[in-house]
Amino acid sequence: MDDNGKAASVFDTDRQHLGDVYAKALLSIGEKTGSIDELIDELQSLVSVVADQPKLRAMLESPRVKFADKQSIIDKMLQGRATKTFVNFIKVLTRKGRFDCLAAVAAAAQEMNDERAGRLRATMTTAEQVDDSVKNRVASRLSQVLGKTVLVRSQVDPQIIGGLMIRIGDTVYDASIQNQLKQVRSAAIDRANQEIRGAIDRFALEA
Amino acid sequence: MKFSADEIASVIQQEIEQYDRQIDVREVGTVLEVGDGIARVHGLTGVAAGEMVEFPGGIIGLAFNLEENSVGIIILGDYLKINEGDEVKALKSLLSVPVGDAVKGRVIDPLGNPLDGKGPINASDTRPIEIIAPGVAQRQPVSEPMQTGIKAVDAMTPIGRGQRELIIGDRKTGKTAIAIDAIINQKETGVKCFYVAVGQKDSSVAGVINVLEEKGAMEYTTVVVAGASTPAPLQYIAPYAGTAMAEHFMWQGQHCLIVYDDLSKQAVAYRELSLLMRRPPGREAYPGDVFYCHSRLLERSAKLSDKLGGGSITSLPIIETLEGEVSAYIPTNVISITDGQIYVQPDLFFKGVRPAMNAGISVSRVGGAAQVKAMKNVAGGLRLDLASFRELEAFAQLGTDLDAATQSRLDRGYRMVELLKQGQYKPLHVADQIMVIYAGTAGFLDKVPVEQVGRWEEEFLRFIHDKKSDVWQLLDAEKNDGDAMKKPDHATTKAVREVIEEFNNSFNTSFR
Repeated sequence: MDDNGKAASVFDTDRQHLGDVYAKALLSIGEKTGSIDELIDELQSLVSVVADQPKLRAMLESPRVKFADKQSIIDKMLQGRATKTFVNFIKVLTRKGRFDCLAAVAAAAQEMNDERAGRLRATMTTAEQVDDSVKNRVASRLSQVLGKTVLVRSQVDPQIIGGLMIRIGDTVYDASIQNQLKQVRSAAIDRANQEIRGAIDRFALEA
Repeated sequence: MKFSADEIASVIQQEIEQYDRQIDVREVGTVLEVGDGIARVHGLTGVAAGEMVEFPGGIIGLAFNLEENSVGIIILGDYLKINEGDEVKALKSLLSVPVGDAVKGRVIDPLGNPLDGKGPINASDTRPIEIIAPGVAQRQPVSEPMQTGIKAVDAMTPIGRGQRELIIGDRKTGKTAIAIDAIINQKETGVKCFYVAVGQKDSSVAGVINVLEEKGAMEYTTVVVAGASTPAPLQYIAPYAGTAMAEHFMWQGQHCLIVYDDLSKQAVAYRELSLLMRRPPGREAYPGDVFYCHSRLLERSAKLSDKLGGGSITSLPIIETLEGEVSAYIPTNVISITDGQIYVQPDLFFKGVRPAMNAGISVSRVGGAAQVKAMKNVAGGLRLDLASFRELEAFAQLGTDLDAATQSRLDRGYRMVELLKQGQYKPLHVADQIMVIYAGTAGFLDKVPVEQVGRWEEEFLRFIHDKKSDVWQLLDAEKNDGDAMKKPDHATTKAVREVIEEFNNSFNTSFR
């Protein structure tokens, strides 16, 4: 029973695939009832709760615990605190033995909702903590360029020395000092190499 | 050392001063798992199949499998230095290798890195390793001969420039020896040679390189090595890399000979990759597209049209069979792709018939058109004669009394078999071959005891070169004349007959 929170940090393509399927179903219900944002909020708060409670997670994921027991736990935990749709969704997820996909479902649901609403999430990495005005400026500039609403999350990484690094999806816009130093370095090496090769006969003559 | 530190420093300084600050936009992914030469990567949503990617530390990979949520990458380098969570960058380009005169005479790995300790490869050009083969309009039929210098091959399964002739047989039957002789025979013909060693023991490759160097063949040969200890991805791409290097010369109107030694090992490497990528296994656990793997490689051997310079790539793929099983998956595939095969057999090899070529089932599907005319006239029926001789020989072993005609056919057969034996690394000029085979087929050897045929050939060739070089030169000049060695009253035929008769007189007396 004890497989402590390790699995959650490891990326699993199978779970992601399942997460997509469940998220799609959840969103289409949300669309009908007009409660998408509410459902996603509930989903995310449950993900963070479960992440803090490895025992709860292990219990809900375990195939050895009877569904009836799980159901009563879910009822006790969520009844009155969450919408009926959400409680039902969690019960379905548990009955199908897919509670381990919860985090993947949450991530997929958020992504799909963003796409639906024309939103993009960007991660901005800086060397030092920046204030919100910078963040907002970056967000508005990005929104302007990409033609979509961009939500910026900021992150600090002293390793990049200075400058700015923005990641949207799989694309990285890198204007960090670290990267520029790397580029100068490789350009200088290439150039020096070229110079030496261009004048290789100087070595040949000597030999 | 004529470079001063100041000089280099100033170059670097210039580079820094001119450095133009630009935002680096790149597409990235994250390594999910890595091992056995492959990595699965999350992200890289826009990557294309066959595109190069870069791992930290400059290790290059190729996008091989595009799946819904991940990308399968084959790693062309040390995969032990890659960790889970590493960032992978798409390079938006195809894998290329250095080409041109810089690779001539070198021993390199499939990525073009030198392995021979002769310093860096200063190639000005590169070519992508995978391209689409020339189409119908860009080609012309194979018409020029590609002499291998081996009597049995040049007489019975002639190879033309632009042809693909498979060398197939069990282990230790002299497959590589045929290919190496063919390379050695390209000396002074201007043909560039490429020897691609896939999955071979490094010691055997070293042996081959040694021979090529000894025979002066390394000057025009490039050896691409992906030995048995090289990871499967490199073994898989080695033939493509070698072909890319040959194509460079082909498109310049030059001629190339490329040996793939051997494609069964490449297929095994490809199978390994495919299974690790979880592609469904098919027959003998090979993936479904192993045929395409070989056909797209061998289609790149071509004879270009005159408009495109008329260059060519001739290829000699080698396939190793297990216990003579030619109907296994890979052998049948490659037999059906190539324009003929040279089949070597262990029983012939151990009987001392070397090259151990089985004349009955070896064919060349283009050959005739690309054979030297005089050779065609001399050796036209040789293959069928030899094949029927083998049958007759098996029958004669029953010990029945034979009529005189059958006995004489048998005698002729024994002498032809003896005549077609040839030492390793001793390729013969085509004029020499024509004369020797003519002597055999025209019955000049019927009086020579079978065990003396080898000595006869050796002494005859010495006699020709030492005393009758005018006849040799006549034949060499007339060898492309359709009537030479065909009509008995043709000047060349007459001259050759006279020389053989003259030699026979002295030869007979010398050992009697």
